[in-house]
Amino acid sequence: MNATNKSTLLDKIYPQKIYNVNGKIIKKPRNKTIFIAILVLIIFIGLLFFIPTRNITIKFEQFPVIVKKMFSPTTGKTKSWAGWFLYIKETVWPLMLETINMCFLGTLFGATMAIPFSILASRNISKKGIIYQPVRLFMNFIRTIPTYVLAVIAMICFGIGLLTGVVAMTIFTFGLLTKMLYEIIETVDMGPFESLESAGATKIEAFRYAVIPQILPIFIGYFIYAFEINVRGSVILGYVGAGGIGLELDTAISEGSHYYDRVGAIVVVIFLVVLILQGFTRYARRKLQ
Amino acid sequence: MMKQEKLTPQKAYKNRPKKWIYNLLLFVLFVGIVIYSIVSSGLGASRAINWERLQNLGKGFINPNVEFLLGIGEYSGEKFVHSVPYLTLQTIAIAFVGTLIAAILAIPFGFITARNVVGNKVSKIGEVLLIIIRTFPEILLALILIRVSGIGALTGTIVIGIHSVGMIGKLYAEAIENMESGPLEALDAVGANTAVKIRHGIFPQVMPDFLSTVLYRFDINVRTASVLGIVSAGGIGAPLIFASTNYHWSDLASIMYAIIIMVTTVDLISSYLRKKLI
Repeated sequence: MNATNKSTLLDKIYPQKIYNVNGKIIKKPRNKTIFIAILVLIIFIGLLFFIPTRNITIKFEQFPVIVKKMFSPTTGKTKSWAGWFLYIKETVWPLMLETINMCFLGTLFGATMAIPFSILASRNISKKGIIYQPVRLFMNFIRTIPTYVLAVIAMICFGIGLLTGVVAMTIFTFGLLTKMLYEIIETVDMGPFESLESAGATKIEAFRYAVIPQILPIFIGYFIYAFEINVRGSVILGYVGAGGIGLELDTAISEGSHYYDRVGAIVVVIFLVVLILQGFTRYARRKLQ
Repeated sequence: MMKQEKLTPQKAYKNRPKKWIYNLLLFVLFVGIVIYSIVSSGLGASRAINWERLQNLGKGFINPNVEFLLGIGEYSGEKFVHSVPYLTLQTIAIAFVGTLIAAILAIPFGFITARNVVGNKVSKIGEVLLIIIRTFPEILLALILIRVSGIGALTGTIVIGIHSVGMIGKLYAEAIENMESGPLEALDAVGANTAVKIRHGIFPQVMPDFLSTVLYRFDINVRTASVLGIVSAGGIGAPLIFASTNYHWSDLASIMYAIIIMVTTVDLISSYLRKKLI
């Protein structure tokens, strides 16, 4: 056996440590971390070429200038602080409510659709692979489509408006919640379900009295979670054509004149709403679980 | 002694707690909210589906702009930077480099937020900082930073690098908090210095969690990076919006194909690697 004497290029670059244990020759396995690190480094350097930095000067001094502009009302409608707050009260806040409304409806419709599909997709209830495999495949496909692509397609169908946002969020929530729900349905205790079935209950009755009580609190928690994700995503969806606060932000910044003070007002409102919502979500989920 | 009443299932069922008033109130409240939001959103007055445009999009999906999609023909050479392969790779580059920046930036945040490292008070400060970073929508950050680092992929990278710190830092902190103190105490007992303690006590324990967090975030960031183009922060988002508002159906379909393939691939790789780690 001469195989141990064959030295490859790899051995020259990164020799293995050889130990002699009781006459047996043992090679210490190479540390793979270093190879992974090198691979990541190569990918990193390769990808850097796609981020052009030529002709770009980073103007750090611009940052405080922009922030200051956002909070110094000077233009048009928002000439003074009073006007700034009036703008929040009369334009931003109603739009924010509209956006939240849109998110609520999208989450609601999506969650409603998710219930029957998650039952079909769960291995322990639908039992037959012929049913749950295609449903899962379909759901996987839906989940791979990013929300803004859904929004673009919805915008093509319905034009710019809240309906576009509702449709995009419904499909997104549907995909997300179906997966979360069937995973949780598969972990429930099947004892009550089986005993109800053996006592003569139909599948639907057994599901209603044996499974739903077990999953309801978790489902409500997921519902709130999906709602929070949708509210956060709504700004981007507004840009793509879902209307609401995103559209107002788009007009404030791209009208050529750059109403930074209006952007500031919108930023403050969005930030506070998301922050409060996040606090509420954490509280509600802790209570439910 | 009083005779104890025998509790039959029928009696127990009769004496079950009466929650129907509470449930009814909740139900009425919920239905009220639903009706209110449907009415006030004015969805009833919405337009019907524009079938013509949907058909056009379908035709686009059947006949995508192949030259644009593959970066050949008209799109080779000088114009390659406007083709789908280049923009897709740029999107991945933004996500990859941004995630890497965030993964490194988040390490100090993770240690500051971990309760078992700095104690409760300092940890609260770190937590609040991370919540603020996490909550600030990335698209707003992009709008502000576009004035600092200009239009292009660099801004997108910086935005993702900053925004991801919020989530990565939080998950790092959780990983550090779940660490076993045994190995650290053992190293203490044999008189190891801080560097050795970090290298042999902390590193091996938290590394799988850290890596899986970063991979997960990379998966999310690929989606984020492709949407940041909307505010001209680089990547494939800008041509997507351009094609959709100008009804360039075959271009739009090509971009959507690319996005779905990219997102699926990254998702599969990331979840495969994460499964291997744990």
